[in-house]
Amino acid sequence: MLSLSDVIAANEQQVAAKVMDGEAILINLATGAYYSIGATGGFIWSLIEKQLSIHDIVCTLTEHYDVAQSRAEADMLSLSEQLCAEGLVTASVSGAAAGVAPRTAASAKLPYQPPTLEKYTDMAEMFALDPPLPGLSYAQADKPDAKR
Amino acid sequence: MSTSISCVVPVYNGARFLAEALDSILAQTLPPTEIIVVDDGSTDATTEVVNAYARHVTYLWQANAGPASARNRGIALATGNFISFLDADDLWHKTKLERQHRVLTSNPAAGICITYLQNFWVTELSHERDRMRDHDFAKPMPGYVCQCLLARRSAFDAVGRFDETKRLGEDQDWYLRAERAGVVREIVPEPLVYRRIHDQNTTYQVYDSQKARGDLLDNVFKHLKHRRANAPE
Repeated sequence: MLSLSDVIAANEQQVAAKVMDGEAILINLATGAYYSIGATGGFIWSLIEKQLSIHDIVCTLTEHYDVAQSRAEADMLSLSEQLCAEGLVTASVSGAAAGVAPRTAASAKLPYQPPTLEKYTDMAEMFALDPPLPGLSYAQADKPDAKR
Repeated sequence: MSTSISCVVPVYNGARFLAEALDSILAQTLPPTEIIVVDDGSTDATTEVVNAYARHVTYLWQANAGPASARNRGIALATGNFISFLDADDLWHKTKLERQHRVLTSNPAAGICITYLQNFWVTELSHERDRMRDHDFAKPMPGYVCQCLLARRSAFDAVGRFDETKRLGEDQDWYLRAERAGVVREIVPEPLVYRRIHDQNTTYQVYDSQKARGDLLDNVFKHLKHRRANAPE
């Protein structure tokens, strides 16, 4: 059970993620499942990448979107639980080292829609061909050289 | 139309295993009519290995540009009405082409046929093999990679070439594009391709690369948009 003070962070070891057209797209490379977090998902994922506490994410959310604090808290706790269960994020007890949410005063608040996590498994067979293998260290390489 | 199968072999510094790969092509019960080795700028003894097969292969060299580019170069040269690929470190079962060809011939509507793939580990990585024994990665799996493909030339006409800008997942991208283009796919559910796992495999090297991960995410996003656009009401 998560609490508002918990810090959540992307599970970078096995998750590839990117915000595209405002929507967060995630791949769990270990299971081959992929996900979309629609509506406010892209905004929220960009905050998760900053390793904030759920509370800080909620505060930033309410600054930018037209949503009550209590509603945003409930939605964020629920979403965080789902992301944890799918192995997409890790949660840790809040420490002083946590990042700070950017505070930019929004002039007009955006209409709010709760973030929804959608899961798809129809590409799992394709991702199974090249999974990140547990216990193996992956070196950095960005030149188009070897074969696969 | 008579059967003519082209086999494209992209190779980059693959001297160590290339002869085995070429032998497994020449041992096919339905051999390809041409083997095109595209040397992607190798600096090892690849040329010498190929020389020993000069009677059987067409060889061309290009400055290093990646496997997608090398395969595209091979496709451009290929004259067969079927096209296949084998990477320089992998092996085919001797019936691979014959089984796939039979499937495609019996289903004229199908544009491509894939087989299952079995990974195997080089001797130096036997500890890795033992560690992975119970992992799905050690079991036969559907081969959505180039070395498992037999495609009608018309499939490439419909889908296009491999995306040379991708660092990872260019074959995945091609299969997804084929699906979007409505190309019918057949599967031989038996491991007729053996993929060698060694310390030079690209996938082992690139997962931390943001570019590689971005390539996979782009594949997923395009697939998702297509899926939504075609979802039943």
